[in-house]
Amino acid sequence: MKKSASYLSLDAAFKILLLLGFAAFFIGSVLTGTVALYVHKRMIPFILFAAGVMIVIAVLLTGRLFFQDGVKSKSRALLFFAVPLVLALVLPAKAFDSASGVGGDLQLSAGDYSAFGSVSSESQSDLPAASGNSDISAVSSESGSSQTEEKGLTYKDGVLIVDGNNYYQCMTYLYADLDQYVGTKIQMDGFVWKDSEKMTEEEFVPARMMMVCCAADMVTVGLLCRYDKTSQLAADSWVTVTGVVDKAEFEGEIIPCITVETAEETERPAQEYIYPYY
Amino acid sequence: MDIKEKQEEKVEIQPEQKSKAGGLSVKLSVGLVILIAGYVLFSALRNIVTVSDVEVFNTVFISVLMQAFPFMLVGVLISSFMHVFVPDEWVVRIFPSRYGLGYLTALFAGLFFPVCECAIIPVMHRLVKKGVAMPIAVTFMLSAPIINPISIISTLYAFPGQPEIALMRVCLGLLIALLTGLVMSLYGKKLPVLSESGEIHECGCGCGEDHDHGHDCCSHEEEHGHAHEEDGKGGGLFDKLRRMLLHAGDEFFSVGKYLVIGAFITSLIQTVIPRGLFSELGKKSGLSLLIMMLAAFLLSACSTSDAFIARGFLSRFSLGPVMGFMVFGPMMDIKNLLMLSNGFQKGFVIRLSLLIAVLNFFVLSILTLVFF
Repeated sequence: MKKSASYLSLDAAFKILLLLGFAAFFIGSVLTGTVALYVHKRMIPFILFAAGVMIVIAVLLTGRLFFQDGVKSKSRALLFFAVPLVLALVLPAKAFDSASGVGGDLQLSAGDYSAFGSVSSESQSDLPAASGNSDISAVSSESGSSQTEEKGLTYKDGVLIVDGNNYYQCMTYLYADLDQYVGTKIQMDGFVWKDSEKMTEEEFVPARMMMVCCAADMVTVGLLCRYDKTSQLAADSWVTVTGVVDKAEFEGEIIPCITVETAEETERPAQEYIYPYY
Repeated sequence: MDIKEKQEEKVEIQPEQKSKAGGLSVKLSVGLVILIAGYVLFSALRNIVTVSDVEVFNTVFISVLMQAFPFMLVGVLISSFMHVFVPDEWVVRIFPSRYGLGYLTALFAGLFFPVCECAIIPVMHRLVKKGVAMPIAVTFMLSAPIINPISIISTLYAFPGQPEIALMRVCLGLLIALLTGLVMSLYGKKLPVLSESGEIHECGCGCGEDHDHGHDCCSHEEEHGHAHEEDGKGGGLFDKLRRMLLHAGDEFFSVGKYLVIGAFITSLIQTVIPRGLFSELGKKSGLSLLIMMLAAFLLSACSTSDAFIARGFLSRFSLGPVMGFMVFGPMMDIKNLLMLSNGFQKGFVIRLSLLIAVLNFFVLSILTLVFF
């Protein structure tokens, strides 16, 4: 960095590149939908806002491209920004639906069943508290569709349809008010989750990954299923399960379970993750 | 991990080599070190880690940044707005130094900042530069991420039917924030505040220009490539807006650097250490509160979503330690620690985090003894 009339400022140039790069990545990921693999959908406005601010700052920074006498520039630290940007642009977003192979253990809560267990323990202590439902019905009324529904849950020909949109409400209701739902026909999608340590050979879970805020806080959720042909289901394959809600004892707790009638292979859903609330 | 830490050390040493001629070679050598470290790391891990693991790590890393960058931008925009538009006296009037009142504002100001801890740190830094007493600013920094509406709502959702958990979290957060502030005020003015000459309004960059400059441009390792008229006072609204945005850009790069490092370490920990391990540790050692606080520190989850992670721990821990996770996490974690060290003296940052940790531990221990 010599002192003389006007030089191209590498610092400014690098900053402009980084800002535009991040903005492009943010906007691109929103346009292509890959943003859903990184963060909760409610973050999208924030991300677009951030992209906008970055572009504006980048444009303003062009005024610094040619620096005058006596301005030092230290762009070393900018390397820290280059690393994630390059990673973001080069490596694809990983969909955390599979719990298979070596990667399974490293996939955050995919290897940890506690989130599921906690739903039950928490909701059971919840049973006497009638106030429990007030919060939740507020959510469901926001996202509820116009179909035949009760408390935000969708029924089709008497079958409770659990989909990506009402998944979390369904889970909460089922765990909180299990008695009321025993005997209800239910249908849900999920990837086959087996755990030879905790489950019997007949048991599996059609599991979904739930993203609360971003990919760093994913938890696995699902309902325990009992199915005599469980051994025929390949782990991590996507299935549509139809069955009847029942009670089951699992690790010392009474939790909902589905007595499965059919489990059919299905496509990976377009919206892979569950986004619990907005 | 080791190698990454070494990189950081290396980088922290760099600012002392300020010779201009050395600039390029320093850059090159840092680049080289990173390359070598990367190569060593890569070959060491090659046998254990698959491509899929790298992708998982990468997705977590990028997602943390995607989530944090917008909030941090909001933070630096608020901070820059205050820098350019709001006179110091106003800010000090809102956070009066007559302690009682100032603490009250500090405790509840977070209600109006619906942002998480990533955004709070630049704002808190600005408050201190504007002359707000340090203990009050710290109280604000600690309470805001917990009392902010998004955090409260997400805690309510994470524990449906148990609003008392959210209430307890808020109360404990406020209590510990206040205690930390009060303990700090006992030390009074002995405390070192901004790193080096952060509050001295003069620029050591050799220009000799006299400009009002809250910006700690040269006192530490912040990059400094801006033209000088930008920080001067006066000018029309448009000019001020331009200065505000450019200033926000500078802060984004100086604070963001630490966010990136923090996110990197956090993602690495999240990818390598299964969350269940903390549960196992807590079960065996009986030090569940400490383990949960450590987990909060290492996982560095955003205060707006950590309640859901905390819920996952509830199956193995009692409410006391889980509360420790939810109260300590937003106050101090790897990201916060690194971001704070940009602008405050390292010794001060370390003492502050220890103070927060100790206060958290005692308050929650007492609470656990009394209630659970």
